[in-house]
Amino acid sequence: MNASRAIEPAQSDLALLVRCRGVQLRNLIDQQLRDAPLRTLSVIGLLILIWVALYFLLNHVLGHVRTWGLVGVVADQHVFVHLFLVLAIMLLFSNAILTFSSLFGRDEAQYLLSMPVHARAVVAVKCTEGMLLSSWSFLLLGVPLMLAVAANTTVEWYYYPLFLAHFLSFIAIPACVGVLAAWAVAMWAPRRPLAVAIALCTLLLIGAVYWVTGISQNALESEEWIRQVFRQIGVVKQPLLPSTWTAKGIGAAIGRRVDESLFYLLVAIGNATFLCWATVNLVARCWPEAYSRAQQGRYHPVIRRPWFTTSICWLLFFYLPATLWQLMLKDIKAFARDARQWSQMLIMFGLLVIYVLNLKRLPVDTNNPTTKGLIAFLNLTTVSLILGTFTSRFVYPLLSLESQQLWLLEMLPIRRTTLLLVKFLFALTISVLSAGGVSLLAAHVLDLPPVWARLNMAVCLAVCIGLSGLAIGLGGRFPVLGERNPARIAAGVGGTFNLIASMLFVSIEMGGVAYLGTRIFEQDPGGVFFEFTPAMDRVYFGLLALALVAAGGAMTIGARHLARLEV
Amino acid sequence: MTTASAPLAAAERHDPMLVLQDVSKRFGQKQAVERLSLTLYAGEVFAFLGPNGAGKTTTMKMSTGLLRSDTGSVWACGHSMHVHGRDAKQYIAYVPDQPFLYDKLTGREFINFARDMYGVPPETGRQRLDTLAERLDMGSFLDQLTESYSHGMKQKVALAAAMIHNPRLVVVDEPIVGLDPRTIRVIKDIFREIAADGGTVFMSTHTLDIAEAVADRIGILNDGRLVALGTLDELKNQATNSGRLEDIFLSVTSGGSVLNSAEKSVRDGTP
Repeated sequence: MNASRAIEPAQSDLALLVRCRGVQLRNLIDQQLRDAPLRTLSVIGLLILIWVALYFLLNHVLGHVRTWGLVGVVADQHVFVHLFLVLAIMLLFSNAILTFSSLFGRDEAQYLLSMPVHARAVVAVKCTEGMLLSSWSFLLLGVPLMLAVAANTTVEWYYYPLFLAHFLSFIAIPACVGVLAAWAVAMWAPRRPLAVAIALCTLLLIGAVYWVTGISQNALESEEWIRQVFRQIGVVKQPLLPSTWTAKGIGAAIGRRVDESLFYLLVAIGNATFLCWATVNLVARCWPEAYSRAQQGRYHPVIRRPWFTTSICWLLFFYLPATLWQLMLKDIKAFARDARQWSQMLIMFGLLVIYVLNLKRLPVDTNNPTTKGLIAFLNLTTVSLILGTFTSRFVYPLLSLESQQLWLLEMLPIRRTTLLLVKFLFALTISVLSAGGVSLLAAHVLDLPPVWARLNMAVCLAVCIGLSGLAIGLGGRFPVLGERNPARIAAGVGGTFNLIASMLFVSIEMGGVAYLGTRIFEQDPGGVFFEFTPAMDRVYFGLLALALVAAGGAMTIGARHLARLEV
Repeated sequence: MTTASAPLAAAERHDPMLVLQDVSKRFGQKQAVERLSLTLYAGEVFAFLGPNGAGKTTTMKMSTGLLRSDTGSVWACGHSMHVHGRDAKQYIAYVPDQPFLYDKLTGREFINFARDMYGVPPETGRQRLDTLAERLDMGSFLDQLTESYSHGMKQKVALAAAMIHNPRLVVVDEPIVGLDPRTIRVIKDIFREIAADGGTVFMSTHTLDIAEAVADRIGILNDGRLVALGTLDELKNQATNSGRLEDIFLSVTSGGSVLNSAEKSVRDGTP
């Protein structure tokens, strides 16, 4: 018998796994620089741009805080405490999702589990990876924040290393809690991880609504309102919360109290180290068991009567011929059964609905026509940007995802361009229902003057048409054949191009609305008796035409490319 | 520090290499495997047959420690998979039907990673890789990123990575799907060589010809239950219609059962 090797300590497995990751990273960078240097440089350039923009934004906000005489608020760590608490919750959730798929998913976890690898080494590497992947945006936000604070206060040199150290030690704590949450779901709720996540999100959302409703009862002036808010939500400044240690530590570093800052840093590091050690050992000990249990969640119950999706399809697409209706039904079923799609959309637009319903509680005079118009404009911009993100992430990959089954669709008596049209109608209907619904609700809650309401609804419809057409058309022009992962399709060259085109389109539309809004404010702030001038009519119809041209152009390009495509 | 080589040092041909004892596994409402008892011996190629969804992959995953059985126990290479799974995995190779490869590694880097994980000395590993690369005809793509591979190429690299540590128990799910006839022939030869060297091959397949040609013993699983077990001749003799393996397969998966008397007593717990 040929013996392989003696059981070795986890460190050597750890070194092998880290080296393997290093080689993969090196190969990825080589490949990117060799195959797509322009794209790589564009991504780096955009990241730097976002970084610079974030710095200026934060600098501007802190500047305002300073002019309001709220330096005390900053110095008292109010801002940091809340910032870190929110970031901690986000980090916890994203790390839990990442860890669940990487430690209890099918591919790599199964491969590593079939080898004599030390579980501690795998869990340590996966935890670190999850931490880095889920906190990169955290770091992206952290450095501009650090520089913005420095620009608005007088700090010593040691503020910079202390800030980074506080940031890094803080990240580990919510990340570990996220890993533990993923492990707990695998162990005790493997059959319904999504149901658990949705239940938790719903509870958090209800809590947040209750909280926000409670603190925004009084319509106060901005400075006093902020003080009031901080007083009411001061409960989060618990001395046992890591966000409090980090906030106090950074506050002390700003205030040149090095001893105090170091004290909080050591508290955070000590707790983070212990939590990391405990998490890795606990999860590693039960990893094979948890993996085995998690596989039970992959066996789904039989769906006997999909009456809900069929009814929805009848209701929304009764006008389609039978063949196209069947294609639409297939897409609706796929959408309804892919919880990643509808849950993200539900959360995004659900938050918007809650915000809209609370519009009247905002600490501003919502009876003032100018304020109403301004809020309506901001709502429309937000809805459009969210819709642009949604179409880029979920609508754009639709055609590429069909590439695996294109041979099957080819056999049907329909043209490829018809397939494109069905996808467009599908995307447009969902967009109009969600974005249009939120805009209509906002118009009703704000009791918008007719001219504003018409403008908002018309532009919202134009945005839906334009974004759906761009995503479907460019999806047909740049299909990623054979790829099953929508995230990878969306992150490709075509996906990036679609995102940029969508954002550009939204910017132009919103620029047009801003122009029209300014003219309305100048001539009739109430907008009750306002009539568009010929010049304004041209802009108004120009916005609608732009949407049709963008959608039509992209769809034509996509259809032509799709017709020539060989499968 | 313990060594995992000791239990296998004395292993000889016909020693039990994989023992599944009264193993059951349920996924929600579905009973994937029910009270399965099966022993695989050193020096044999065992073919596991059964209709889709019969529980073959679940059984193989339990054999390699990827899934925990709800009841019963699994022993591989003298180790309990539940208690000392890591020790047993030193000697096991598992190749799933959809092999996993790291997209951003070349085939050679992936195999070297597996080599290092199993603690094979680099020089020994290099020699084995050269031999496997030549036999499986991998030379032309071994230094390309695996993301560009076809299914057949992936299957070859996964198989080579699994063989790099000279495993004693090879568990392989659908080994020949997507492979060309020449490679299928090579794989059949490799399986026979492993068995001749005292190792065990536990393979699942839907290709009955392969089972007939390579396997020393055949087991047929239906609805999570073992309904036939024995050598091809034993199955033919015991089947009511003494015909080809295809006839036996169709017969037992439609409700019949062909277990030899020894296996029946193991299953039923009777002497």
